[in-house]
Amino acid sequence: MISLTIDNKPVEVEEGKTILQAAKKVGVDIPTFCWHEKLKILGGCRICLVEVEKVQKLMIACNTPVSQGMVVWTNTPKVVKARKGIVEFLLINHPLDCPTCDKGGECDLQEITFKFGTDRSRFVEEKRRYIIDQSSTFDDLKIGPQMIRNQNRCIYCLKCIRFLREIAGEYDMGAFMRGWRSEINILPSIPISNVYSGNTVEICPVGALTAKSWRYLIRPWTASKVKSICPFCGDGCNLTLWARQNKLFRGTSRRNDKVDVGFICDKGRWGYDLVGHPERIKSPWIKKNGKLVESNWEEAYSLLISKLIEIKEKYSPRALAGFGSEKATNEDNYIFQKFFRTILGSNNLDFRAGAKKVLPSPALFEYPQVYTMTNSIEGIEKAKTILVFGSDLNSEHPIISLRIRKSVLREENGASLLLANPKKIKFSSIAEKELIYKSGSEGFLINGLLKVILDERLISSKLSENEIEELRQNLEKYSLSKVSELTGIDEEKIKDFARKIATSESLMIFCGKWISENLQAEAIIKGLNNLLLAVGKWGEKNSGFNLLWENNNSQGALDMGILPDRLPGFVPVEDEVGRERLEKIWNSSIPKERGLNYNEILLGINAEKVKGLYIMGQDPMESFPDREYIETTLKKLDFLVVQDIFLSETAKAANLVLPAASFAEKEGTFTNVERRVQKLCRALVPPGEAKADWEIICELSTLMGHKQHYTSAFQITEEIAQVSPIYGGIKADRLDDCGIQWPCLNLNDQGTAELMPENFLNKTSQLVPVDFDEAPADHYYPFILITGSLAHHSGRLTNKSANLCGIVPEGFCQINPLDAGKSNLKNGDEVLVESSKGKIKIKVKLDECVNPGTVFVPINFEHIKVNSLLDKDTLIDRVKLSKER
Amino acid sequence: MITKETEEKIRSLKGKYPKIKTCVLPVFHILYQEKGCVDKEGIQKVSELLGIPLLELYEVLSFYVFFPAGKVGKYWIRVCDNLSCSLLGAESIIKYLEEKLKIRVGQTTPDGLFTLSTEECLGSCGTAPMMMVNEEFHENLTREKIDKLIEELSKR
Amino acid sequence: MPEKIVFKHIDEPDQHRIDTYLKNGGYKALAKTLKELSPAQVIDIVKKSGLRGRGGAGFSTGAKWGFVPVNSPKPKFLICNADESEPGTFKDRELIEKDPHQLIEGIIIGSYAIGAHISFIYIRAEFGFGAKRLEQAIREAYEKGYLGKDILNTGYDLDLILFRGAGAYICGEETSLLSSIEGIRPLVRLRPPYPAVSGLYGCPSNVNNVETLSNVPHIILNGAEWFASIGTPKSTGTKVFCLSGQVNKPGNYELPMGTPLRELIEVYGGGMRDGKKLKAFIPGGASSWVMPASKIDVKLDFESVAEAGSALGSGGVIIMDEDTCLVRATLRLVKFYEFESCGECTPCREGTYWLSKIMQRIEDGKGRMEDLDLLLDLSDNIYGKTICPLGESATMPITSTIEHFRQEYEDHIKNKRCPFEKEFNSSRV
Repeated sequence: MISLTIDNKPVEVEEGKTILQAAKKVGVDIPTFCWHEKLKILGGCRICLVEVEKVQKLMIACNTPVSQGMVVWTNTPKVVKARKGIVEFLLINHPLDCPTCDKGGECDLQEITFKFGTDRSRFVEEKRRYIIDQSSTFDDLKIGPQMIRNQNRCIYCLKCIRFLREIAGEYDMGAFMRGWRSEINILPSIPISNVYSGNTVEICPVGALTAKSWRYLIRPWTASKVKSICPFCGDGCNLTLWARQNKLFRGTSRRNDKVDVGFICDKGRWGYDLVGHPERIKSPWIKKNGKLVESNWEEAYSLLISKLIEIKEKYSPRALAGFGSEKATNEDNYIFQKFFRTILGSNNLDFRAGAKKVLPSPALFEYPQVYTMTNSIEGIEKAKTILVFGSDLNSEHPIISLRIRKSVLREENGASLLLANPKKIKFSSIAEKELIYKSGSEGFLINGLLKVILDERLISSKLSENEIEELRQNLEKYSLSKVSELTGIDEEKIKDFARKIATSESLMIFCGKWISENLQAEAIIKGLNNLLLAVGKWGEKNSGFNLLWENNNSQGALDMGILPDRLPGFVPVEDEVGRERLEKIWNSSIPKERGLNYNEILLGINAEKVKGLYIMGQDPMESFPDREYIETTLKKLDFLVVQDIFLSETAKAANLVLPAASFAEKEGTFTNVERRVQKLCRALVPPGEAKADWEIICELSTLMGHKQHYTSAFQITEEIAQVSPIYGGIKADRLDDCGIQWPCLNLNDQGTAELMPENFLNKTSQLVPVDFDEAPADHYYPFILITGSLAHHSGRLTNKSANLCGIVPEGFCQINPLDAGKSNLKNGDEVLVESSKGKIKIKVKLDECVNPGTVFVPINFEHIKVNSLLDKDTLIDRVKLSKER
Repeated sequence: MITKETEEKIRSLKGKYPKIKTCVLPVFHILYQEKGCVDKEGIQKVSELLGIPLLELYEVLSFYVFFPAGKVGKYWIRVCDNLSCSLLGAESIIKYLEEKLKIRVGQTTPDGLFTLSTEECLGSCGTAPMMMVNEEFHENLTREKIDKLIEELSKR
Repeated sequence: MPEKIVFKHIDEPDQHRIDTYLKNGGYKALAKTLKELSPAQVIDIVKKSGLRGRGGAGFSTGAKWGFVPVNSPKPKFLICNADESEPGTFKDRELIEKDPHQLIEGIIIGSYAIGAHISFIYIRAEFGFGAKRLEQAIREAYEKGYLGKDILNTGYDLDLILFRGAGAYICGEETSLLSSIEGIRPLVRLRPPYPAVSGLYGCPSNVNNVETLSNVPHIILNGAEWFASIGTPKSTGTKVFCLSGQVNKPGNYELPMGTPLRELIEVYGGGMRDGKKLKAFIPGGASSWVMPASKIDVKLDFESVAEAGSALGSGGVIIMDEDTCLVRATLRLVKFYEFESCGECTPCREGTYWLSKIMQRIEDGKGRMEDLDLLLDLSDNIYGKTICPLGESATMPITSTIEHFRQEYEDHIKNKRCPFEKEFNSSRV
């Protein structure tokens, strides 16, 4: 430790710390402009100059390391003059257009001038102007759909560019020219489009970068700031919502170093506007004579109750099924399943609308059925080798991607990034090795890798001889030449990849949508766990398997028991002890048999066994991978009730639609992909008569004769803690800081960052060989279709955000230029994409990120019904393309 | 047009330096030698061939003043007007050239032969006043020397 | 004539060819170094010689080499700074064009001393002829085995890369130069870390001036004591003084450190032009303080010039006679710094903009008396507050001319016009 004094205050800090860091520790205020905790030091603004005794020149606090016995002064006449000088310099060319500047009230230049500057200027020369329009003070340049640059106000701290380069790895905005002519800009006609761009607005210390969506609407100090959690992907970034008069004005980051380190993606930043979308449903709607008409709660409840009771009595409780929500809170989902299990008496519960075949329910906890992140987001920084298998991680999880990037690019021993995906992803540029497999051949690739590991004697000595022998026999069927043929990857590349995996010091595997929604998901995940076991990294530190669920609360829906055979906390329905424990707490019986899962419920409807379906916060018509099937299935229901914030495609097909509150209009908790339970607060009153999902179900329960006593969502949080052991220590007031990762067994438990063998019931795992099906060829439909999210559009709600639609307005069909050449297709051509199930018209985008023979179409665009091309029963989907004239 | 030859020259820079980005200035010199300027087409090609983001190339290029971004005259006359040269008459030289070529500093003659600009110190103060024509230095300038040179160049 | 070192063979027609260079004793120092001396011994000799950087800073070359960590696992780089752009300085160009092998030999010895196996010469873009000469010389040196693998069968490898700049004065600043080679925007880097520890590509590096390195072979051959016996005790050896401006014979003169300015002007420079009187001079390139004629007896060595209130800098001596408008001269220099500021730090970026605007106003006859105090105060707000010396340099002509020639400024302001001829010496050409 180094001792020094700053303004006479003694302080001790570790060696290598700077004066600025030491000053922060003792609360001495040293102003900064270009310094940012997460960025490399630039030292350009010079506002942090301080006096160090025995040093002639003033020193910048941000880059001067402390030394033993150093005596630092931050307020001597010399320092004060220098600071005033810097402020004066910064203001000479600054337009001083504060009255019309959007940054007013949260501008560092304003603040520091106020504190340290002078109230007069000696500058009588002409100011530098970047756009000469003497009639206006707004020298604005639109540099992206959401981004406005005003170069006059720029103070060249370069935080924007430094953030984009150092943290995000983006190159669509830069610094040009030199001296006072320098400017921040884009290349002509190439607007900034990266998904992290909004952070530059947030870290800009002046009004040089502002966001279109927030400009000139309100002054920041008049808005109330509400703590929330991003409602889009499963990363769980912390947000601040800025609200006034029951309207949201913007979303900004709310730094949580465990999750987002203060940088969020543009989807989370600008997607808030969906909350205020004019199409929000504000009252219940009832279908009368085939048309939905606006109604009221009284009528809605009485209809709903009568229908539920009718079906329950006419058929059986098992004729009722419920789809919970990956978007709704834990509390909503918990109440939903409790209502189904206790009041309706049905275990027919699920929520996984996007999968062709749902995964078996996880146990608590037996490998390999742990469908969550066993590592933590923060822990990624310690990774040595990272394998991304079947995920467009950059699009699905932009903020986790930043963490992986940081790990890969860290100065000492950066992690090796290995990719195996059906198409190139953004990470390709920093990956050490990348395999592009043919969609549907995932399992063959895994077994091929295992075979190399086995054949080249790279297999872990931790495995038993039995395990190895079984594996050997199993892999006999998987000759490398066959694997190479099916995956479309050279044998040598597979070998090389396998060697890298086998020799890694530690191994983190990440999987995403291309796995979780795969028909063979279960086997693939087993296979990947086999890979971990085969290289001896199972249960090791900084190693592990991580399934990244797509949505903000997919993990929570699982945890809350929106599953046919699992009660909250993954207690098996058939487990008598566990069930009885809950029956006592709930003071009600729970059906003993497992219910139907997603696929089974749909089968049940078709078999006329399931008659009534209650869908909360989900739109299977858009997300189920077989539109024709879901459409015809839902039509067969006696009664369909949909509870949502929009009149979705599914809602349009419903008999009753109930208006729900959005994430901004309710309290509760979300659980992110790394099992972190985080709290969101209420920023707005729901529109019209809309209510939080849990409120609706509680009212319904009460009306059905089961009085509910909850007066707030956080009371439900407490009940969850009582019911689910892994949530045992989770209470709303413990979540204010950075949330807690389950398992958190009691109030003294700080939670569990990384799941280690001791967290599992079986404490060990065994390699169980798995087999895979081959995807059949079909020459009539020559292209393999893969679907997925885009960075600005993931989840079914982003297309309700005008802000996000302004950035990526429409979907497209990515096709390799070679294929395009053969079919005589150019960028922007309309093309008919046709499968055996249906066809869509869409614009072509030539892109080498897809291999020849593969096309990619993003989901989540309202006007492109991609799922009408998909077949729930086939391993892969095949299409043909024809040019539309 | 970027010739195949130039392309080959650019490609050959790969691996010449410890890191790829070190190619940036050398590649600009290649473009300048081949085309007389570093223009959009050239930069785009460089970005493709060397895999360096276009924006980064522009960022670097815009910092420097040696390469013209577009077409300049066949002979680019750059007169040093820094202190030492000015003390020995650089300003008269510039004025004389303006009169002689009938253009102002920053302009190109209509026949595309001469572009006239001023330049910071070119390290030739002992032989001031001086100017650079393309890459060649002309020192100890007098009106007579300029007359002779312009005449010669116009004939070439 | 006093003994010349780096200019000893400068006037031999073919000195730039390796055969002539060898005939004149070239590459003997290299052979001696590689065969007889350890890297530590080389550093020690250079330290003892008292050789100081000739680029402007005047830091001990041996000490600078010594900062490169011997045990670093990273590659090390020696970079020759041939970005000579300091107004009033033109010695490196002559050394490059006329005796390139002397420089190359110095580079090889320096590289050996710090353990570098790749070395760069960063030459400014405008030195096209110099670059060609160096290219040829490097090729010759490779052919004769002075560069490349296993130099002179000693097992020492060195590759020398000629790297051309692109027109930016700031790249003469060593950290900016490194960024320029790296192909990123050449903004100045903060110290710490120093280039010796983290320089080119984050590896230990040393940046040395052309004249500095050209001295090295001679020091190795003739010994530290020999070199130290020339010049003054603290400023050893010779210095190439670049004499320019209003003297009869401007040019490069290699003279022992400590040679009085008067001798430089009168003996070597052939006296003032047209018999005019000396009014002011800049002793060390544009980046030093302007001095009045009264200081004509200052001795040209680091200490004496500093004591007299300026800096020896790069040795670029600019002579201004009685007809020179110092406001205009100062304006010209301030504009140079304004144009060349990289823009990274506030005082330099904004300060040079402001200073140049004020100076222009004064020269245009629109100055105000209070502008003089403002200029001094702004200069104070820049000096010592910037990352690198560029911004500071812009203040030097201002503060020194206001100090010594305040009357001239006041005349501009009072008369609302420049009292001198509008142009410098326009009648000359």
